[in-house]
Amino acid sequence: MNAYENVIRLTNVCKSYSAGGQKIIGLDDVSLELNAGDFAVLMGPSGGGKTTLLNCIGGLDQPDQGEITIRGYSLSGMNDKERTQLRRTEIGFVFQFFNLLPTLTVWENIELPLLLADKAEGGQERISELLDYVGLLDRANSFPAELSGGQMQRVAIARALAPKPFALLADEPTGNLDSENGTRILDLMKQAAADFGATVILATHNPQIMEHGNRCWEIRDGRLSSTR
Amino acid sequence: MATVVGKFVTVDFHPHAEVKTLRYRDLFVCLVLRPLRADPFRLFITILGVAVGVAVFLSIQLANLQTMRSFENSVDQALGKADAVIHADGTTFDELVFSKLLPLREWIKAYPVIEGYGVEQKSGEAVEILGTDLLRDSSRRDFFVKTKEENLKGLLPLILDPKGIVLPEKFIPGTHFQPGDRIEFLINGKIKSLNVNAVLEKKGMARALNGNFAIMDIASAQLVFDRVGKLDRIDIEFVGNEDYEKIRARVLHVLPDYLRFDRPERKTQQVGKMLRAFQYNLTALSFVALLVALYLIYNMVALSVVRRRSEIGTLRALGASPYLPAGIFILEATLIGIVGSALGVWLGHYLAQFSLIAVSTTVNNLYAPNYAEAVEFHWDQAIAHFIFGIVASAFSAIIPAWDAASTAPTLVLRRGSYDLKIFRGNQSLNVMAFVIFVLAGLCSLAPPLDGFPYFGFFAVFLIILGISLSTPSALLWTRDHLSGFCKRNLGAEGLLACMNLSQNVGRNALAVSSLAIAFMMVVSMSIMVHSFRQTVIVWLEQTLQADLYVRPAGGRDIDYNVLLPAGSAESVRSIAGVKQVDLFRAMDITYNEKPVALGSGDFNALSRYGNLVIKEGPPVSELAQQLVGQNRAIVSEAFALKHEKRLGDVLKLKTPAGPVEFEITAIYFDYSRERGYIIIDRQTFIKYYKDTEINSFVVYLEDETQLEFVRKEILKLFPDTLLNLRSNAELRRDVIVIFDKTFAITYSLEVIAVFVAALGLFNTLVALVLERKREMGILRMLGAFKNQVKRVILIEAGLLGVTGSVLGFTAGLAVSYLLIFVINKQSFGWTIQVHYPYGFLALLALFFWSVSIGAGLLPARLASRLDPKEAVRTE
Repeated sequence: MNAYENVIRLTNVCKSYSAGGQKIIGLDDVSLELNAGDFAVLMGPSGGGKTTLLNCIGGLDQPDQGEITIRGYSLSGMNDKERTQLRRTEIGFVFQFFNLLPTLTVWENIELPLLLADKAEGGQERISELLDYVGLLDRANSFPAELSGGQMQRVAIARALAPKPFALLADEPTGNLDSENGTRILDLMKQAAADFGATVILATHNPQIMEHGNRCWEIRDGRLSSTR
Repeated sequence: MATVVGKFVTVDFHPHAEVKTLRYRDLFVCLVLRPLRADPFRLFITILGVAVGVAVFLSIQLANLQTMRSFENSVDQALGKADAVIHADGTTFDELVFSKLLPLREWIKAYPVIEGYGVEQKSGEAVEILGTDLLRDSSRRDFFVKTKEENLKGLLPLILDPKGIVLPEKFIPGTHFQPGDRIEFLINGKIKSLNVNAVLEKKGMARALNGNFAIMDIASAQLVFDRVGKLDRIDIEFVGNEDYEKIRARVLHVLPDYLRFDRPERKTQQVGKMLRAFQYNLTALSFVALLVALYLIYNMVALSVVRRRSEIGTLRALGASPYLPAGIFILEATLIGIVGSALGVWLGHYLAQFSLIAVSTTVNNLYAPNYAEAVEFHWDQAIAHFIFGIVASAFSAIIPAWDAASTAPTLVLRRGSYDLKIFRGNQSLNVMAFVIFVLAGLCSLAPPLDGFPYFGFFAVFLIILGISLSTPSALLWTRDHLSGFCKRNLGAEGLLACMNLSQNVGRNALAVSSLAIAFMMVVSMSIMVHSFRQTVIVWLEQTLQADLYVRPAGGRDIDYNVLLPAGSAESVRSIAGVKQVDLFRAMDITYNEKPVALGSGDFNALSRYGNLVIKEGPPVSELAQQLVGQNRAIVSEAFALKHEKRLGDVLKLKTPAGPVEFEITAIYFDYSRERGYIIIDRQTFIKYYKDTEINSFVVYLEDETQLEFVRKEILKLFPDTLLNLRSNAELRRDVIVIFDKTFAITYSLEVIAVFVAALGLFNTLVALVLERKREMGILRMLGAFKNQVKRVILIEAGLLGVTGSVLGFTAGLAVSYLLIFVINKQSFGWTIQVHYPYGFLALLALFFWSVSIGAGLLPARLASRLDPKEAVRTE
């Protein structure tokens, strides 16, 4: 078996929080494996643990127990800087509310991860390619306030793909869009995953979206159950 | 029956129970108090800024008030119940004049007075000494004497002792004189040992001049001050109810022409006028500090509005009128104003003591002796400032409150939409700023009103307003022109920091405005003071040509009642190595109801060896032939400006020898007295004023190396007189020291303004971090290191600082010209050459930039510690 076939592996991951003096279970003994190119859908109700799981995979949170391995590297042994470095080059994020920086143009928003990684030089071609891919080449100099919700999310996807990540973590990416735009975004993400070779984990509370994934899980009260 | 207690509602479960509604007090707690408490650090910073602003403003007002009060008290108390004063305007007059008033006893009572100064030898303090008819005066003046013996036995020594003196019980701090003690004063350069025959109880007149005075019997005072046969003034008390003007006419009818009959408050009014420009300048400076503090409140409330937009939307959706959100934020600002102003008032009355010391130093050095030592503070004095602070704070919140009231609920409740707004420029702001700057320019051309540069001050205010309106465009300009540079040289952090300038531009603009205004204040004052200083230094170099400057010890250079006999000074000419001696005599007179100094000197000596910087008229070398033995005068620039006199105009002076007209032959530059000089030749002066005494003399030497020898020889010629001898270099140094002390208080005010502005920037940056939490979180999620997030904030702080500095510098230049060519010129009448302290300005720019970066350190640290996942949380 190829060592990188399982690009993302979670083994008995547990995570809990304190809130108002009470202990809240975020993740309860979660294990999963994802291969390169998978389009995984994580479904569950609000507060079920979807975001917690994505945060742990993205290196934003550290589990209390268990292990998370990405491309063979264990996140447990990484410090903040190393995890940040991972996010910089290997992981892209797509959010429900797009989270574009309002003072930067479309082009600059997409360029931002490259600038942060000091890889902007020679990145113009990449950015143009991505803009063209998401169909917004003519809006390169627009600001987010001038775009519709669907357009903003397309920019967000382009931004997430800019550093050529191996994984895309999307938290309710269609939650703020109408159904038509939502479908378009899902299709775009699927296509991008296939074309750019990225593994996608999409968190949603909408069961209809499960149809789009080749791997599906349900998460409820921190407990994961596979449906596909 | 069961009781359910909720947060706001108490409900009794009873079939027909009445449900209690929300109390307004609960709403106030929840919507105003709790949010304030949720941000204690920024609340503290805002309150501190307001407190400092109010404190500085109040302290200057109290110091100014106390200074004037000390003059009023001294005049009121020293004059007792006088209804009018007869005096000779700067000189003494024959005591025989007193007898001319006897026929008028049906209408007036007259009390002769000698007044002078002595320096008490133990403390070194100047003391005003009043010589009066103690027996007659006891009925008129409000004093209570404690003598060594009771009744007449105790009073007789007061009258009969030619060296007897009476001190107030609360005399100079640190001294404890009792009846029977001896006290030494330096008077006219001579040590006079006097006998303390009585002490004034600490009431009435004894409280005058803060205790820095003494009284003697008039005959004794005449002896001590070498004014035998002379009087300084006669106090007049009206007997009946006759009109002031009628009595004035009667009295002037019997008096020589050159004597004046004035109301006692005239002296205070004159002092008040002299001090007005100085005090207004200080008030304007202190007001800047307060203004900058009020920006802090705007900032705090504006952020509060942004952070609570969804709350506002919810309230509106629940049916609240727009007035409720507006009211919440105005109340927030009012509360901050109440606490800040209360703290400011408390702080202000402590600061006032320091302000008083600085103000008194300047007043003493430049205007008149001032004995205000402590601020008499009553809490009710501060009520106006307290209320002003609250009202101004509430006013500061009007714009953000309006913003809150006009927020469309649907816009806010739809998440994310409001956050995308960026500023693209506002043409109307730019147009308004332009119009305001043009108006400022027009005001700078307007003449003074009643000798006061009202339009000049208004022009400065307009520039401040114009700067505030220009700041949003300045931020945009910085963004547009520096974004490329920042991106190339500082990467993503630089790009983000630069582009962020146009987000929340209202608040950024305010922080930058505060910085710009503070910087403007420092730059303009630095250029003005440096220009003034350099002008004075050059003037000193050109004017001070003598080698030695001699006057009696004790008192100030501008005290013209400290005299030397001319005879001894004349004998200095015989000292080997002395080339020439020039004798100087001056007196403070009134011309056109304004104070002026009338001086006299030897124009032969001046024309040959000395120098004046002539503004208009013949060169100094030709002045001797124009003025010696002629009814001609030269006047200083300040005098010419204040009295609107030109070359060839005639001055009409009332002299003891009768009215005389003097033609103005030249106008010269002078920076020693703000009231201005009229100078005539010494021979002319003696002819008309019958006064041969001098205040000082200067010595020109054949050879500079003879200085110490001549100094010693001069001292031998004055064995009984203590002299103040200064070389040319020593005098120049002393003048500059006084000059520097004069501006000490302005430096303090500038520092405070910078401090408050830095607080404002700090507050803005913290607000920026709190408001852009999500953005910081996004950056971290995209792979920004903590240091990178920090750098974004620091670079933004630096850019805000640079923008503020550039704006402030430009405005500072403009205001410096206003100060030099308009305000100073119209207030004091001086021409100042512009000199730029380049090195200091460069350091200042660096300092301001550092302060900006410094203000960003803690917010940057805050930003780097944000938990990214919490920052982008939407649930």
